[in-house]
Amino acid sequence: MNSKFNKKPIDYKVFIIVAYIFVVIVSLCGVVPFIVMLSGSFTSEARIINYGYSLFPKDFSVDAYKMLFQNIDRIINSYGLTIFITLAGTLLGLMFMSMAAYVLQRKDFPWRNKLSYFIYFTTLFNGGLTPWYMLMMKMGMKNNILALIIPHLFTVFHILIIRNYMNGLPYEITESAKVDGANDFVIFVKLILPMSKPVLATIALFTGLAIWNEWYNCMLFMSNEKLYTLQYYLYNMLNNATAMKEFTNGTGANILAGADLPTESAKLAMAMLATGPILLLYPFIQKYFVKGITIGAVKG
Amino acid sequence: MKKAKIVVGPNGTLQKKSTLLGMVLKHKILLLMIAPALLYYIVFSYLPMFGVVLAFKEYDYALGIIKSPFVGLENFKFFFKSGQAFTVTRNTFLYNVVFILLGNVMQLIVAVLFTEIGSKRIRKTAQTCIFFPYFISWVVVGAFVYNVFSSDYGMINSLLKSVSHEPINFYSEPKYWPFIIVVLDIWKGLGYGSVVYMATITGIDTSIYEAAEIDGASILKRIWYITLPSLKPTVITLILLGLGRVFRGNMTMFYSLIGNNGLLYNYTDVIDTFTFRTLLFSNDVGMSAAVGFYQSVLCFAFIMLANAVVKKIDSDSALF
Amino acid sequence: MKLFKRVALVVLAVMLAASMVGCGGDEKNASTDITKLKMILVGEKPALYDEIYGKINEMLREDIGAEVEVEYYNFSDLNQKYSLLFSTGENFDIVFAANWVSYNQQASKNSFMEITDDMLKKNAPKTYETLTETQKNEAKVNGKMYMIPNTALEYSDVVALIRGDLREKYGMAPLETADDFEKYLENVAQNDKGITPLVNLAAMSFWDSNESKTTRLAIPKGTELSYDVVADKFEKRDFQDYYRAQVKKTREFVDKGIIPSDIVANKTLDNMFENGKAATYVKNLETSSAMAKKLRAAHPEWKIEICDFSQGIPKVANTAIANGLALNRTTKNADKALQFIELLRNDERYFNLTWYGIEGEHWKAGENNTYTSLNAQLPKERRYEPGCVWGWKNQAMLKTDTTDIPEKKEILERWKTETVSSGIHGFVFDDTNVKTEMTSIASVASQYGGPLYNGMVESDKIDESLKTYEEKLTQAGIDKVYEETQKQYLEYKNSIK
Repeated sequence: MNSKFNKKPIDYKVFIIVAYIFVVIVSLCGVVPFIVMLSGSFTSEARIINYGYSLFPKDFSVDAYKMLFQNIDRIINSYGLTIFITLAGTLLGLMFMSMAAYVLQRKDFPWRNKLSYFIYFTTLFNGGLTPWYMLMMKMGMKNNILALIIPHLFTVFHILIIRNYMNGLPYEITESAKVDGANDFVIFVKLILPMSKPVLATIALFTGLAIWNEWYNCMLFMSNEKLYTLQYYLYNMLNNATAMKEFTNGTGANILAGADLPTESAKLAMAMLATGPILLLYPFIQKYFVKGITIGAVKG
Repeated sequence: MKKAKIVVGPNGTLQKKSTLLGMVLKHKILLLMIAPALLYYIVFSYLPMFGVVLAFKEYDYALGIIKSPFVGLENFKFFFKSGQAFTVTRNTFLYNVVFILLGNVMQLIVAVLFTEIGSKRIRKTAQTCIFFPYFISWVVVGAFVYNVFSSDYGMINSLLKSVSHEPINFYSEPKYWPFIIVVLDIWKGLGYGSVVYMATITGIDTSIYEAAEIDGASILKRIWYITLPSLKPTVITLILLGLGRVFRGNMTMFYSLIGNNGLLYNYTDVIDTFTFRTLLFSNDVGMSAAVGFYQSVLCFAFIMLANAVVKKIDSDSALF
Repeated sequence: MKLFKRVALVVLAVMLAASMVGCGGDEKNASTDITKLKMILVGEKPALYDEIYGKINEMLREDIGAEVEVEYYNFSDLNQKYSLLFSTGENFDIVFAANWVSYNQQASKNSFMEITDDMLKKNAPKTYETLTETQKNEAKVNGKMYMIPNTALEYSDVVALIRGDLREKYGMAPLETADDFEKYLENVAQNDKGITPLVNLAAMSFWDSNESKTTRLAIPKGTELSYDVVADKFEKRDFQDYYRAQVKKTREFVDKGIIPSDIVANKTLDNMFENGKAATYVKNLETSSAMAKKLRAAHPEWKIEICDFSQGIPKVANTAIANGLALNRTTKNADKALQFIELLRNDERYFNLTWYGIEGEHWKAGENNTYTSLNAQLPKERRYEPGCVWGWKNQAMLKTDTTDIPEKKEILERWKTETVSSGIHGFVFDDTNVKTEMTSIASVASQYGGPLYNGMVESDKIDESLKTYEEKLTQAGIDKVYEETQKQYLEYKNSIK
């Protein structure tokens, strides 16, 4: 590789060196706060309160994790649930959204502009939380796992990104296949999908992350602890203390009693637990962005 | 790639454009494929959309949405009477425009540079690194920011004090915050946003690059004439999609960073934080619906304008 | 095609699984004549919920042929979820209600079922007998009673915890007055750089001689039209001289290093005292004494002292609607629900179980309405923390914990003797006519009042800022709210004479 690099022209060398410097700086900006978070989760509470966060744990302690693992059953249960809804939701969402996107970019589909607009319009106007909540409740979404999946199945943003990508694929593919007598669904599955791997990987990642981070619908619809997602736990921990503080000022009761208020380090530890797995998974998804595809081959 | 954009001749479609039924039958498979999406949006978006009437109603639980009495524009009054309507609308708009433009430029640069780097290992590691911030929730970011900028305990002020410089009271100086907020927003969305661009670059036919290299095109030229033009439709789509939300503020971010610090509001308050804070106590459904409606109308007007402009310049890239 | 088949199969399996989970909750109960009640409470679900409510249900089945299931709404979700509860006609029977979770606003939107005297007489005779006319009036909105208020003496006044070891180090005598407290704070600021003297601005009320004589009307938080108990009238608190004095005092403390200058942005304030980073802890009596008890065990060397600087100043107890239980407007089990509330409030078995846990394991009865909590000796997972039981707080049933710090009882006894009745109790402000103004005021108060309150405005700019604040409040329509309040209050007073 080195010899190959040496043969390149000077402007290429300068460019690559600048690129490397840039990449290193940007990467550090991303990774340093994360290390601070990790180190904070292994620091004693007193240390954090007194001296703030640091890059390396100064007063090493696993108390935060110990505290979290007291509820190990609940955490394992949330993990299971979160993994399940993430997989199911991503798979279903990807299927439905890519189908819709394909249709919306088919140049011979007469309603493609109208329907694109029909779908896009929903991002501009919505009826607000109340009517939507009523609808979901009427459909029996209370304590129903579908309430965690359905809201993520379709995202206008994602559909339009896929549509955009497929738009860039040569239309001759569809055309020639039609001449050969293939039906639209077969063309989509056999020809278009394999060529759309990078964008499908992207949207799988986005949808997966959206569901993995799901807490809002969980908060609205779940009262059964068995249906709590991981992020809802985190959300609760992070916000309960602040919320309680606001309420205490208005009451004479001791509303802090009985609430096991999380320590600062426990909050960070929980955040680590909620992010860890998806980060480990990321490199596997990445390979789809790296593996270039040669469209020419298909074209021939 | 360029050649692929052959405009489909009207010969196929126009000739058979006889009846609606005929057209439906002809495209029945395509219609079936898009049916789930249409059904979803009809049920979960259009059906509850009649809720916008709440903006003009005094909501009474016993009467329900339909029977609650109309109150005209009463629900909008509080927003305009507060004297902050203009400020928060302006802030929301400006922040979002900067977020969208600067954010996309940064993501684009990152995507282009990352894909040019030869070493797969470094590229992958770096890609993962810039994704980290996405996972740090705003609440945690808020706590970190306080650790950095606090006047008594903050890192910056500790540094300033150690070189016997006057400490800066960040939390009572609004002028620093637009900068801090923009940097944080870009930082947090960089990894996530650049993925789309990277995927698009991956989709570019590699043979075009090879041909260009053989022709002796310099790397900058290749980026300028091959990579960037291929990314153009994606850039425009993403920017347009962003602009469609330009009057909606990221409530979680602003609230986690600023909280209830009145001194900073003029520079940092957006429509969503304003409504959240003001309606926290009264919890009024009608009033929050009113602000939501106001935002929708502004977004609608703005995106129609932006889309029309794009359509004029490059009709292929318009959203609709 | 193979890929497609595989995907389709997985999808099918997922949908099947999902629909099964979805239906799991709807199992029909075998015994049909048991009424299932659903109660919504706030805060966290107690760790021993299943056990405690299992016992409650055993008794309930026998007593009134009902069962109860409690759903807890966490504080972090409360604002969002509480009003959604009523807007959707959700299925529940009893709900926690209190002025601090917008009882008045919810009631005026028709969230709750009216509780009439007849209903009470029929289903909850003891409750009916023990509720005083004043308490009932306090629970009324637009002339109708929507909640069964609590009947316990409760105070929102704050007391301070201080570090006895520090006080001794500075050679100070025990703190008696707010001025002593100020000297203590100054000493901390000068001598212990690593410790923040004061982290809760509620403490500023110690220096406000008017504070305890007034009751705030819970209208827009942040600004207060306050009611003067002694003079029996409302005043616009934000513009009074004592408000100016308090703002200036706060800023003086910031300048002296007693209060952190960016207190509004600090999110770890509440943990600071516990971790030795703050020199004071200022909260209401219940909360402070619980903290004192905890820290005396954990850090005996700190010699925690509890100080009440309000001796001799008239006290006003909280209104009855500070905690209570209401019925859902659409409940079909109103009778059973009331019977259940009656038992919770007045039956020792129910009350003790929910408030103190299992007798013998969690507590031991003592003489004269006392009990001894055994929680401290139990392993963590067996301890009983009652959570939200305030809805059925009943003075006649309450016991004092012998393990509580002795000062708590002393202070409470003294406060009882200092309590004056407040004319404002029973007056409920109806904000229908001034809703726009109230919301605008809330926004102005946060933007212009907040920085003043938090000591963020420099001393020489305070007068100017106060003027701006006043102007903004006037623009937002505070005078209209003020007039409306006065008007409604006069009407109320005439109606009870």
